[in-house]
Amino acid sequence: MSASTPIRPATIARVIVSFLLAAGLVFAIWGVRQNAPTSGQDFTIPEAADVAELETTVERCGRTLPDQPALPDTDGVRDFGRVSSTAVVECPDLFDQQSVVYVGEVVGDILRRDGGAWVLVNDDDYALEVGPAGSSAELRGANSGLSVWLPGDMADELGRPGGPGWRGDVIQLSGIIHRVDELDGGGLTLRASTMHVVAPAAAADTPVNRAQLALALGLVAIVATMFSVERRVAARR
Amino acid sequence: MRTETSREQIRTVVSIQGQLLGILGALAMAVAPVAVVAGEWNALSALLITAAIGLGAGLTARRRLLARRDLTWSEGMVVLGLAYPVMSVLAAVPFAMSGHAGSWGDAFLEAMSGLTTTGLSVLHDIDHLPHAVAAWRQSIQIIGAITILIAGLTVFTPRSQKASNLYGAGVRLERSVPGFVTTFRHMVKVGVAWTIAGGVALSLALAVAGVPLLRIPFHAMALFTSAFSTGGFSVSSASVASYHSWSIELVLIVLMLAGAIAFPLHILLWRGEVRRAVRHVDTRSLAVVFSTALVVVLVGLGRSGAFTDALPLLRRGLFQVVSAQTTTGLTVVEPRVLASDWGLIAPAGLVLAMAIGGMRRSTAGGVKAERFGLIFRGIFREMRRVLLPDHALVVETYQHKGRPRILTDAHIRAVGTMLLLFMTTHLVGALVILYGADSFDLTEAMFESVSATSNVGMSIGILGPMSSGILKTVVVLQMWLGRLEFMAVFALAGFLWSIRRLPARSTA
Repeated sequence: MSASTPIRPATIARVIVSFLLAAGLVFAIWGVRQNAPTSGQDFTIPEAADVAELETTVERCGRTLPDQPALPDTDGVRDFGRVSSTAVVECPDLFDQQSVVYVGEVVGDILRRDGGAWVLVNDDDYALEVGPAGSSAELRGANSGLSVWLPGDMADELGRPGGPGWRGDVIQLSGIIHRVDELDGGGLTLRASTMHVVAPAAAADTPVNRAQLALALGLVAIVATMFSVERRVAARR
Repeated sequence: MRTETSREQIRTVVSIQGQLLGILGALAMAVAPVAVVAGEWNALSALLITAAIGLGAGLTARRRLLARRDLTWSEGMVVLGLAYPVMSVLAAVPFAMSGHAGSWGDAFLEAMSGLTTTGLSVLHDIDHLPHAVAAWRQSIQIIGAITILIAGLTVFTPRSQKASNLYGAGVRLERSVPGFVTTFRHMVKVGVAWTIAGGVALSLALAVAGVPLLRIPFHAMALFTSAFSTGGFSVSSASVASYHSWSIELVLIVLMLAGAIAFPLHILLWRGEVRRAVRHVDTRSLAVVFSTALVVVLVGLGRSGAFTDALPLLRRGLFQVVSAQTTTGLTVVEPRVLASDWGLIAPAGLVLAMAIGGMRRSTAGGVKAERFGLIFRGIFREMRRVLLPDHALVVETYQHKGRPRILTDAHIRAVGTMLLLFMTTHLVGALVILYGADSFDLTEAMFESVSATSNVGMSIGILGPMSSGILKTVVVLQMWLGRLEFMAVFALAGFLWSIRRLPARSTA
């Protein structure tokens, strides 16, 4: 680039001030978020719900390589009791065609078709312990869950699935894991045979963050004034 | 290389950054009604903050800094280099205020991932993300896609391969791309046509899949923005697998391929010049790489023992390869299943597809099929040189814009340099990922590293909200470098260096 006017200290100062302003705004926004009010709701599953205890926990199975099945003895159907989605996803071969119990929150949409319904059932901490992330102050990582096929009219028992502002129905299922489910075109699924709702859907209160609202209104007022002044100046010209 | 930076140049660069923030602010205003309809008041105030800051910056840039002159090519590179981090700071605001980001850095990564059309995510609890924040997350992919398409038609012209001339060229953009305005109009036409066709096809497929009627527009918008921009964000933690629908997968395959096709080729197809489009080196290279990757993945899946029937194997394999090759990152497989149940060969095939990526002058990332094709043509040329007599003149040509072009040493050098830069970034990234997440092995780290550098967003389960800071930092750098194909970042570094070098004296 060829220079027509060398840079002036005042220009550098302006750039530095702009950066500091931007950084200040970032800190202000983050500070407002950190002090956001939380609902304090309790989303733990009540003991009276009689939920099965988690029996099978697997951290990692390692890759399933040809001629090296992860579990040599998978003949016949074994009953693994209650499993986590993490265990099933880490070891699809281990659980393939096996009977399991699974507990989690129905999230997303209930896709009714072909004489049944597909649902996504999460068993992460947002589903079973702390509730939706936006309403509580606790963040527990990414979601984890399983695709579940509910045959017949089983889905009719469901209330509202989880989503923004809602913790959906928490259900306990028993069924068979399919490592490659033909019904799903090759996905890892749980085909349920029984289901019961252990905790009905509940609204997750998200209190309005007044400081955030005030900041928004203040900034909107400033920008509206800027636009107004700009229009007047342009009109005078 | 002697480089000098003037006050006007800084004004120009800062002015355009401000105007880009203004565009983001306008986008936030456009998304705000979603928050009103959904009754998400905290999301609404977050979007209003974003809009106010963006529009305020845009107005200031126009009023105080607007440069009344053309942008030079090197300035264009600097603008582009800065654009992604600057826009990401503002685009991060709704994420940071949603309560789903663990830190400001996480919100920044999410924004950078959307704007670079990568699709990797570190937000907590996506399945409960407010509708307005989800809509914002999907929308910024479009802004990122348009930015890179315009860059592809302007600063990423073949001239930009002359890295040594980055600061000496002074080429004015309107001269380097004389047909830009016409091309842009065609881009809009093609984009609108795909939006209508894709939106209708997705809506029908979603209805068939059993998605409740009132929810179809939201899902259709989310899927279309992800597929056509090759961004890959999803409104469900299970991505496309949550729909369990072959018809949705089929429409998405078409949209992803459309997103990864160079816009000049779209225009050729629009005009019915199919033969010219097919003969282009980009098309042929993409077809060869895609076929190779598909065969590798299908053979790998067959060997893994997971699939016993051909149809599910083909359906899963095809979708994943298209998603990887087009650098979209949508998935029909749970990320950890890629590591736990797909063996070693199939993920390696996906890595190959991700590393090469789509076409130049499209929204796809990666090394780009054209460059890969040119490298191979270069290898053939050298082989012929060895085999033919010394006095034989060996000339290798390739089809570009319907005309044969001679492959020169300069071409090979430029393409080779780019390939080397990508490979180095893949490797260094993988090593840092291993350092930051030592419970994973090198193959898994390589998958994640290539995915980030090629702006794919397909994950094998390493990067997540709870990942270490070093891992997240390296992923941000990889997404930025990969999206800009390194040169714009180098230009930015040179620009900043030149500011530092100049004597700070007043001569105004």
